[in-house]
Parts: sequence; structure tokens; C-alpha cells
Amino acid sequence: MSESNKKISLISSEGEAFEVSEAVAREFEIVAHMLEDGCSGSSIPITTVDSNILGKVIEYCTKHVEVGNVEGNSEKAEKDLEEFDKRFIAVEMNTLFSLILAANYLNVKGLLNIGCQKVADTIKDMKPEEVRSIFNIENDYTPAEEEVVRKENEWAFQP
Amino acid sequence: MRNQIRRRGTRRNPIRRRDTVSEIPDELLLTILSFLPSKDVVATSAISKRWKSLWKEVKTFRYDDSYPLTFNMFALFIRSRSSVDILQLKLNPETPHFIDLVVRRSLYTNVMIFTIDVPTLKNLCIYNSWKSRPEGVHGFVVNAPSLSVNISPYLHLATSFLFLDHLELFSCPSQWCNLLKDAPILRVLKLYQKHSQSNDTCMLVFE
Repeated sequence: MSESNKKISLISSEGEAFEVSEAVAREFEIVAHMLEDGCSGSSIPITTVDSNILGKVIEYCTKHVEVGNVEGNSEKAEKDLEEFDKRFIAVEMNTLFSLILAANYLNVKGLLNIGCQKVADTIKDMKPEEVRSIFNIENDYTPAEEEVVRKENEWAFQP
Repeated sequence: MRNQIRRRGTRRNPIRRRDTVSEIPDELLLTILSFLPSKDVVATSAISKRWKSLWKEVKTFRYDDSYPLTFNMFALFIRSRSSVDILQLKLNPETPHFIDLVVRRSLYTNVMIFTIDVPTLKNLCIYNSWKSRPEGVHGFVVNAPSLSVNISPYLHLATSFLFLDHLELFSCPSQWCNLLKDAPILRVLKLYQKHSQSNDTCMLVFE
């Protein structure tokens, strides 16, 4: 699988440039579309994603491109990749949400999927008050309003 | 290498703070919710006003043995409040068995896909009439290895698949192929072969 050696610079919201191979950049569907639409030029601004998060997304895509290019031994490679995903997504909540937003914007489906799955795994079996605290959500119900909602959906709050 | 970011607050770019889920659009929250058990999905209604009705937009609901209400009550609850597309019934081989299942399509006009995964099920009766048919692709995914074929409700199946678009059968007896002549607009058919033994006890009506 020969990929072109062409390099592309992705520019973060702070203006920092990340040089990646075209294959990696194409993992960002939004970039792939730009390239297909004949958008030439070797630097692409990603204005809504900061350097920290962009760096991580590139790390994710680089790994997935690498593994995708290895021929044979696919079972081991797949397991390897799963392990990588698991470690990669084990970040604190704010970073996780930033990654999800970036993956959504850049249209990196695999990352979006494992990010959403990770959030779901984290809040699974949690009470609403626990979800509030982990997501940092302010409870804007009055106690009476909250009571009504809980009554309406009573079974879901039973242990 | 970049520095590790700090826990919370105005780290890195102060203009683009991302401290909470408030920046996450509903569409993504719904993707997250779609990975959760239905009980947890409904419980998110108590988080805050934004979440009050968000769960109702979730398109797939799954019933699980561990829920503190029967499947009938669960189905009734979901159907009356949400715009569900996919309703899944999945039971453990060990927990309360039921052997009869009746699906009245007309009561679930929104539901596009029913998934029925009940190891102990023997009789399945689906009323999938013209009137109750939802617009667009709709169908059933049935995994019921104990389902017997030489019983009358089976006829209902055959006659009611006239408008069926999508059918997946797990461990299906060979007689099921008779269905095909009565399913003129069927577009998706998947058959899986598997073996299992059965227990039997009570009955449940999916309506």
C-alpha cells in the first residue's frame, strides 16, 4: 500500500503547525474532502481545535494508519489497536469531550465512536446527581420540578 | 511533547474554555446515550432541564431482565413518550421464561425495527398489517432458537409479511423459507444457523 509521501501541515487554533503525511491527514474526513475538492496548498487551518487536542487526534490517526498499512497478522494487529484505543481514550472528562468535539468536527468516525462509548461506560449505572457532578452540570430544576420528572419516569430511578 | 493539561478551569486557551458538556451539541449527547442501557437513558431526565426530554429522541431502546418492570410496562412507557425507532427485547436464558409473544404492529407505529432475542420463545405472532406499517424501511430481527414451526401462529407470520422490508432470523427452521413467497417487497433477509435447548413456562404479549 504505497501512500504518497506528500506532507501536509495542519494548523491548530493557536497557529501551531503539525506536519503529517497525507495518509494521516486523510483520516480527517473533512480534510479528505478538501483535498478531493482540489483544495491544494500544503497547510490546512483547523481553527476550532487547539494544539493539545489536535496533537492527540493526529496521534490517534497516525496509529490507525500505521496499523492499517501492516500486511498479515491482522488478529494481533487488531488486538494491538484495541489496546491502543483503550489507553488513548483513558483521559479526564474535559479532554474526552474536547476529543469528541474535535472528532465530530474533523469527522474521524472511529475516534468519535470510542469517545462516545467511553463517556457512556463512565456514566453507566450512575445516579443523575453523580452524572451532574462528573459532567459539571448545574441542576437548574427546582426541587419540586425535579420531583415531577422523577415521578414521571419512576422506574428508571429504582435500584 | 506537550505538557499535560491541568484538571479543570481556564487551562490552555482561555477564549475556548471547555469545562462542561454544555458545548456538546444534542446530536452528540444522543450518540452517547445510544450506548447506554435504556434505564440509564431514561434516568438522565433528572439531570437538568436540558436533559429533561433529550432521552425521548433516542431511537433505540432495549429491554433487559434486570429492569424493575415487566416488558409490557416498559414497552408501553417507551412507546407513549418517545419517538423510538428500534425496540429490542433481549432476555437471558435463565430468567423468567416466556414462550408466546404477540406483536401488534399497530401499537408501535414509530418503531422501525423490532429485535426479539428470546431463547425460550416458542410461539411468535406478528400482526404487521397494511395500516400499521410505518413509512420506509422496517422489519424484525428474530433470534429465538426454540421457536416451533408447526403451530398456527406461524401462519400469521406468513400472511403478515406482505409489507415487510427487513427480516433477520437466527437459527431458523427450514420451513421458514415458505415465508418468502409471501414477502414480495422484502429487501433484506439474513438467516443464521445456531443450536440451543429450551425451557418453558409463562407467556408474554408484546402489545
